[in-house]
Amino acid sequence: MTRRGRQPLARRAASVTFHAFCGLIFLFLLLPLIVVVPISFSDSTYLQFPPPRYSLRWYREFLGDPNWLDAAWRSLKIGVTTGVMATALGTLISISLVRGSYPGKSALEQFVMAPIALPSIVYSVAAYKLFSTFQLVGSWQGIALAHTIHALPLVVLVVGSSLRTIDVSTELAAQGLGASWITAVRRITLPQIRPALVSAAFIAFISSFDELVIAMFLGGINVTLPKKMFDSIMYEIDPTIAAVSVLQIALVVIVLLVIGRLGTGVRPTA
Amino acid sequence: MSTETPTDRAEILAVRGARKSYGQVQALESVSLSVGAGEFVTLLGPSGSGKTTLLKAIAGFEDIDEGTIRLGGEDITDAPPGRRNIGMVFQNYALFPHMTVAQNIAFPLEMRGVSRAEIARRVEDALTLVELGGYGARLPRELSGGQQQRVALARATVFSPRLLLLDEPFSALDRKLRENMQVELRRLQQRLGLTTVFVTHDQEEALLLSDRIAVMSNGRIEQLGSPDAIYDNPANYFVAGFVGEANLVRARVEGSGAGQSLRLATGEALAAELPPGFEAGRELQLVLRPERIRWLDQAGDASNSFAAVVVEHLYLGQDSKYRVRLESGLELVLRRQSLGTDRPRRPGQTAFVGWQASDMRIVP
Amino acid sequence: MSTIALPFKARSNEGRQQRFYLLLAAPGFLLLAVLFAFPLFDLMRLSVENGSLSHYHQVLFGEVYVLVFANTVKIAIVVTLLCAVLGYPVAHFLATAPRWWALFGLLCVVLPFWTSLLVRTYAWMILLGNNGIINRLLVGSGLVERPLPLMHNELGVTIGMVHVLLPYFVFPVYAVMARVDRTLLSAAEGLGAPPWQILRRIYLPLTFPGVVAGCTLVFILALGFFITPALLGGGKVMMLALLIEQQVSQMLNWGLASALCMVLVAAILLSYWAMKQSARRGTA
Repeated sequence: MTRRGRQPLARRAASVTFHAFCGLIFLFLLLPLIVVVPISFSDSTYLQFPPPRYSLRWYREFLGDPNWLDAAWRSLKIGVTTGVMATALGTLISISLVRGSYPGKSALEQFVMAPIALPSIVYSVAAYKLFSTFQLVGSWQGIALAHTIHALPLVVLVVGSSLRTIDVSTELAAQGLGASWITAVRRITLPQIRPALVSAAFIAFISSFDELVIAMFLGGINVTLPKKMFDSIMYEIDPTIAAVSVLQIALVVIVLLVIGRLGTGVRPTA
Repeated sequence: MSTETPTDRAEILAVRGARKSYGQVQALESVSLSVGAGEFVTLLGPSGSGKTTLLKAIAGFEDIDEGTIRLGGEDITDAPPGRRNIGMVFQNYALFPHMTVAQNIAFPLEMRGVSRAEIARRVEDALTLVELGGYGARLPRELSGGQQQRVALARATVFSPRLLLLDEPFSALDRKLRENMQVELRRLQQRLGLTTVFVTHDQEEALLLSDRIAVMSNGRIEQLGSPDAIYDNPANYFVAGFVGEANLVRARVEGSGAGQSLRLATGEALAAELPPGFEAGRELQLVLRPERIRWLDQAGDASNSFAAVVVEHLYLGQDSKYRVRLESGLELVLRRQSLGTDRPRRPGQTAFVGWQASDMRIVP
Repeated sequence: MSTIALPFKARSNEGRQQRFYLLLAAPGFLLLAVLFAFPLFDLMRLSVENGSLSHYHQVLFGEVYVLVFANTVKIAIVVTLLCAVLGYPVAHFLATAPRWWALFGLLCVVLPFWTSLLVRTYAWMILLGNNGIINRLLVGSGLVERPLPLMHNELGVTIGMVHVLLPYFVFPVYAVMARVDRTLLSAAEGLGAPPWQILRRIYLPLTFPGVVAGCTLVFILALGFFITPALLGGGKVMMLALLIEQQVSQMLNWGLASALCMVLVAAILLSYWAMKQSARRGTA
């Protein structure tokens, strides 16, 4: 009886501690995203917090600088190309891995997943020679190819897990009702995993859009947005980079909203 | 074992010597089956008996290692599923979740290049046929289980397939709904004259729906026949035990000629009507359906009668089941109508039980 | 028709289908073979240039390299432990909190996860620098007299790396926790187990596979980290990836760089193998 009387208090204390702990970690996670916002609207030339006055000065700086815009445009091209290529190839691989049952399948799966575990610095060093042989160093197409390699396993993860959740018998039913296998996949399977395809494409895009190391090695003098940011953080730290950061965060939020609208993938499965 | 179709029907489906193995496991052991036009044939068996494998082989989702499958006289053994013109209802219906009911039903017609106007007309007809008029614009997930079932049925029949296959379609429905759907399916099947192969593990369902039943076990068809033939004259021990309830008792033939009798393993001697050709000493199994055993007012009121003690009484509503123990220790199950003329028996009471020689069946 | 006349058939439909599945994987597979497997193989060859193991000798016995390697492993271990300690309760919160709170929590984890690494690292520089927000608050409030060294040292690198890698721990653990049957916990409680025992005897073992996966992921990624130590370390914290970059772009010593790469890959393979082992033991 006495135990019973004590327990709720102890339990409440534990619960308060637990929630406070989680709250602090959430703060830790969000803090960096929060602080760049006021800085980006600062009027001051150097980092001052809170800013003495607010203005759009650094956004103008970014949008008026052909170097920044050039880098952003290049990154966008690379990101979209990577998104399209990785999603297309990765979806084909996913279908093959999830539906097929041929010898060597698990080895193939491990091989496809391998780039995820390989540090991009290692890959950059490894790929440099091959890419320079084909004169791909310094070209945005070369970076897009290398980014596709790294985005492939991400696509296979997302699309594969989605493929596993849909009912195979719908595909069989379509074939039984007269569809060829390709028609069944196109009309029945792909529409069902559309949310995963959208997520996968965005994940591939973002993974490329944010990537620094490969782009640094293979980019030559043609810098991408992350490389330009890296240089600017290293050598000329001023609030332009904060404005760029806020624009990037805004882009991610928009992308997350779009994915949320078009389907699941990053939301908890209820 | 007979595999012929009833003589008044033209043969539509003919499976000959179908054999299939997965590694060491024999899923089908030389199965032959013939289904006549408009016939409703059920493949009945426990899980792992090969019934689903056979169905999938007919549909074209599984290849067979040996044998042939012919449909309407045409060899379809190697044809891809879509070329077989077979309608199939899957266990979980396999409705396309991203398409409306109407789009689902239109799908097979679309694949066959039917014109838009014709598709619209036939989808409408199909919906009316399964009593879902007005539901065309709904998505499958907005329908109840029974309604989804009917959509699946409409989709599988809208293109007038040569054969309809159903893979345990009622297993997900609750009892009441299942009974309704069974009756509806049977009506629809007869109205459209659809040749149908149905898979189930539920023997009551099989008895209720089928023109003929193929009882399967271990990749073989154990018996093929009409429901009453299967129930009243099981071909072997497995069929007797699997279809309906039965008291199965081991017995041995004694004597010869007209004076032949049976002796149970527990010692009782029984009067029996044995077909010719059973010599003395032959071991066999005795099948005695619970509803064939009666309470007797006194010993000798039936050709086989015994004193017994009531061990257990199970009240089932319309019927009551009793377990009784004979003096030898042999236990038998009786099934009697609860509202019959019998007076109720309680556990511990003694009573006489008995049956006629013609109530018994013997199987090897 | 006699049985002998029946032809023994190859698995026609299934065989055709399987060949087709293989064909589907072919374009991606070829791309990986040419642009991924081949360069790695080439790198391995480069690391034993002229058939000599001198680069490896240098990497494995040269004091500087051993120190950098030890430092990298040390930081990776610290970061992994911190992620586990901080991430486990967060994952539990995400898996058990009421709907909207769970969604909010998930947003807190997902948003930084999707945000550019450079943006986050830059933000930490604003926060942790000598003139940064935290030091200004500390000095301004009189808690400390001089700014604390929060950046350009291992502390700064660790903070930045934990921030980047925490989601990688939270996601797999959350995925496992969300699948744990809650009635098991109620059952244990009903059987009289105190909360601590429920955690130790039921919840931790059930979620162990997620913890192993999360730790491995974090550890492997931490080993190859480049951006965060480069910026937050300010040249004072050396890790393997930085060393490799230095060897290539400053020393132009590709042979040594490739040997370092191979050591890094070996370390990653080793930790992956160790995870497989412990996951097997955990489920056995």
